[in-house]
Amino acid sequence: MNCSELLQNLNAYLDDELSPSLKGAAQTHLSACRSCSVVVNTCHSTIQVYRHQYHQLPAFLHRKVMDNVNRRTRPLVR
Amino acid sequence: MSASPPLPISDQEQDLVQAARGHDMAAFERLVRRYEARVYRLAVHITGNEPDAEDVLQETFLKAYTHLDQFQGQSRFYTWLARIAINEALMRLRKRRGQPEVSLDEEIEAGEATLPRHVQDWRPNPEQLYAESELNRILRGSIASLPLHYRTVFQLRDIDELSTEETAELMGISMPAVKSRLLRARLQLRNKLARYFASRRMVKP
Repeated sequence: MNCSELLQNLNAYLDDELSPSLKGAAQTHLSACRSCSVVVNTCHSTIQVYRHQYHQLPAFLHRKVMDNVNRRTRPLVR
Repeated sequence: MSASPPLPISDQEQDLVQAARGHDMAAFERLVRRYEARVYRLAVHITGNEPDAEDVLQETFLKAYTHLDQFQGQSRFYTWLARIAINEALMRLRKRRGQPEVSLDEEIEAGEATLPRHVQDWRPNPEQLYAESELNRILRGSIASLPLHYRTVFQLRDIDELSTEETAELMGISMPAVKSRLLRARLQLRNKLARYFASRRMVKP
């Protein structure tokens, strides 16, 4: 596998969706190519950073959501 | 688009939905808590601003509550919610831009994503990271600077962890389109973050 083939398979590699033989070829390339391994590592870090950042909504927004539902559905609830 | 059968929702979630249909507000509130942050971020990414996103958030859960009977339990509850949120957000966007044709299935510019070179390696230290509001600003700014189609795909696939198929269905685009947009979104975001991390020396090359 060369660099451009690695790029074509980058998503599948990051998502662990490659067949065992392609995954092996990708890993062989990555162990020899510093540029590609940096790309893979930093893409992985990017996803992780975002995944962990977006966890909670501020309490005031949560209250607004619930107040809105309560206020506008009252006739249904009662 | 046909493929594998949709995943059934979890029993616990099904119980919450059932209770909420019977106007059990505590059950509904648990559903809200579970998904509100994702719905809000999705709305921010599509509308591009927080006031509109707040409105979308409120309307989404109001509609979800009043239309719970229409949720069939064939898909994940979040994908059902996300569909409502996407429709609401696109409506606001069209109104704001005066462009009735805004959608998530527009063709995007052609050209292969290029393999970026000469980028320093970096790896964030979690404690250091989340304490920094500057980082949050950078993350929000970076994702906001992506084209609409990229940031929506990135949120649904990478942040919300939906499958390629679920994302394609929600956005009304093909699975190959999801894959190619995701690749571009990942590479572009990574480039933007690389500049930040490299300059901050939070980097272990």
